[in-house]
Amino acid sequence: MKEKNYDRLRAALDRLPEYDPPARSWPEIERGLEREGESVREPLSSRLPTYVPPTAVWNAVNEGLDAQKRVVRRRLPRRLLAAAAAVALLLFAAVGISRWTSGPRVTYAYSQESQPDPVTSDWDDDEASFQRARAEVRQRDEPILNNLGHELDELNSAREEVKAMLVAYGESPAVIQQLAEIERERDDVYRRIIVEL
Amino acid sequence: MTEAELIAACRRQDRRAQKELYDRYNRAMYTACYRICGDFDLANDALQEGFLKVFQKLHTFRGESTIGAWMKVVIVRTALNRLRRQPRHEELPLHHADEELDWGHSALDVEYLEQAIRRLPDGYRAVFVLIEVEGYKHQEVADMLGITVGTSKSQLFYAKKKLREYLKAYV
Amino acid sequence: MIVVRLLLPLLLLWLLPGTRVRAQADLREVVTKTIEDTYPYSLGSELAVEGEKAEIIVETWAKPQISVRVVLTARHQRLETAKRELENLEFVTEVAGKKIYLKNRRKDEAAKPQSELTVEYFITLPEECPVYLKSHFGSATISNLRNRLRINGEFSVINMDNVQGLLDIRTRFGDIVGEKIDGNVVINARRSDISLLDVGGTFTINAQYGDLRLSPNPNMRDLRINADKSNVYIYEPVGGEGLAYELASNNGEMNLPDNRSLVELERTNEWRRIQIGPNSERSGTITASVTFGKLFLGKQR
Repeated sequence: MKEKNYDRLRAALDRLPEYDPPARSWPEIERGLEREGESVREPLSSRLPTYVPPTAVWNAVNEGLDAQKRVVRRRLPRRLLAAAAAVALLLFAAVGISRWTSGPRVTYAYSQESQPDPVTSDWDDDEASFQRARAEVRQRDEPILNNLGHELDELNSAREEVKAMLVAYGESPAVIQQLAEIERERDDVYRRIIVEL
Repeated sequence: MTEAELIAACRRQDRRAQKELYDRYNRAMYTACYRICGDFDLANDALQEGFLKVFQKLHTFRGESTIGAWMKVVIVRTALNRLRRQPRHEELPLHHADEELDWGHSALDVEYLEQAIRRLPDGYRAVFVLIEVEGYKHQEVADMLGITVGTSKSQLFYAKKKLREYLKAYV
Repeated sequence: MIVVRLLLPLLLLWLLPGTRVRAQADLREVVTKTIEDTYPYSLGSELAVEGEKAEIIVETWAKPQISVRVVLTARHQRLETAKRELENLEFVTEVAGKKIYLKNRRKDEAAKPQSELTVEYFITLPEECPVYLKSHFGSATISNLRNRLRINGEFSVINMDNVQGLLDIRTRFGDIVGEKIDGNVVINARRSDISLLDVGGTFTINAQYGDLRLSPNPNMRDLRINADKSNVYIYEPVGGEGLAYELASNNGEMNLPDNRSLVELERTNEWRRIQIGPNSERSGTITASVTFGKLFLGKQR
């Protein structure tokens, strides 16, 4: 195979982005590691209840199947292209070839509304206490405390996801409510940790 | 903690060390899984399964390569197994061996390239990603996929041909 | 009185400009971009939506068409800021054969907007069209579907009303509220509350850390619940005499109605397993296993 201007492909390949796994990945791996540990320590595990695994294996794929087909992709910012596509499609429609309607219609609207009350971003105020508790749990390394510690880790990582959303989309009341709910769950775990400590 | 200390701690099932190893490599591994699987959910499943395998098999790591390279082989293999339809790797006739593929003079749009890679049929995508993106040799890919070097070469050729077609449609 | 009549308009005049200035300062600009499109529907068409912090609303109609309206909004005190930051929201559609794929994303993922940004999808399609949703934050509201629905949600509330067919719901940190659901349903939920009213068919529910409130109807054939560190409340339907129950509790408490005769299968300090037979010919079975949580069985009101 001969390739001309391969450096163009190479340059683009070198610039391909990297992706971060979702925050839930590590808790899942940790649970997997725990299950392995338990199965070694406790041969009685076969007597514990069993759980149906997620059946939604087919949840993830579709795309490979379509790769053979010609893919039509429209990017809205390229409005000229979209308009050209719309004209072409109308022509097709006129001769009865295409079943497609015209391209997307984009409209803008402007209005005003009352400014909501400002939000106090106080959610990081008590972080030091949480971190101290977590560190102590790690140091004590006892089964009940470790379980609570893992619960706290899961909630901490969820909290980070919610905070990231507040940064990415601005402070919307619905997301702040979600953060408040996670904070309440964290408080509950924190209190249980304090009792155990 | 040096890498050797980290590996030793992971072998002792030290959870903090395991998390540290995960933190150091998760991005690169997840990206490789996503490119091979073409789907974030599958990539996530492969990453989880792959890391569990890494921790299980860590005692077999002999230090003949870097830990990252060793882990990548384990995780990439898991991702390949995760592909919903096991790709068929047929040795396609390379009768277009003399055909010239031209990538054009202008810079390729990275976003379109990513989309185009994702659209490749599973088998083509796996070979293309392993060779062109991850930098494996044909022999290594052949070993990983259980195919011949010839098949790996022909799959790469057809992958590139298809990729070029997709990219032309975008421009 | 006359003095009041004279003074009141003056007082109002004096107050008004101040009110206006205050009102101006308390207002924010709302810029909305609406994208509308319609696709033809035929047998085999499918719709997949990947929403990020989006309210996704799916409704049905009798036309052989899939109508999509996406509303992107930015809210900020300064119009220019709202306009600029709105343009960072991108809506992408892909059509591959009969598959329609819709997605919203941020062009610059590192941007930290000052505006409040929201995304809404209003989708109307034939009831037999399979729908696949991925929702990261936001919500998904689905009504009247009849065929196949798959939802993968994270931090996203899922509402379903009058939905039938094959349902596969995965959620994490996102509650599920459903009414009138019938079919083959699988739900995997973590850190999510589930409330299902008037549901029948075959259900498998796996849940960790949540409150589950389930009101099956007499058409429930098989309901299996595996709940860990969760509370489960099952409300027996009126006319559900044919339902049998097999309930197990591990390190939790069980609250059962007094008027049903039950068989204790196993009972220790931590573990209890009971069976309640149907009062008429068996029409369905409800199996629930709860660890570290309450298991409550009571009558529907």
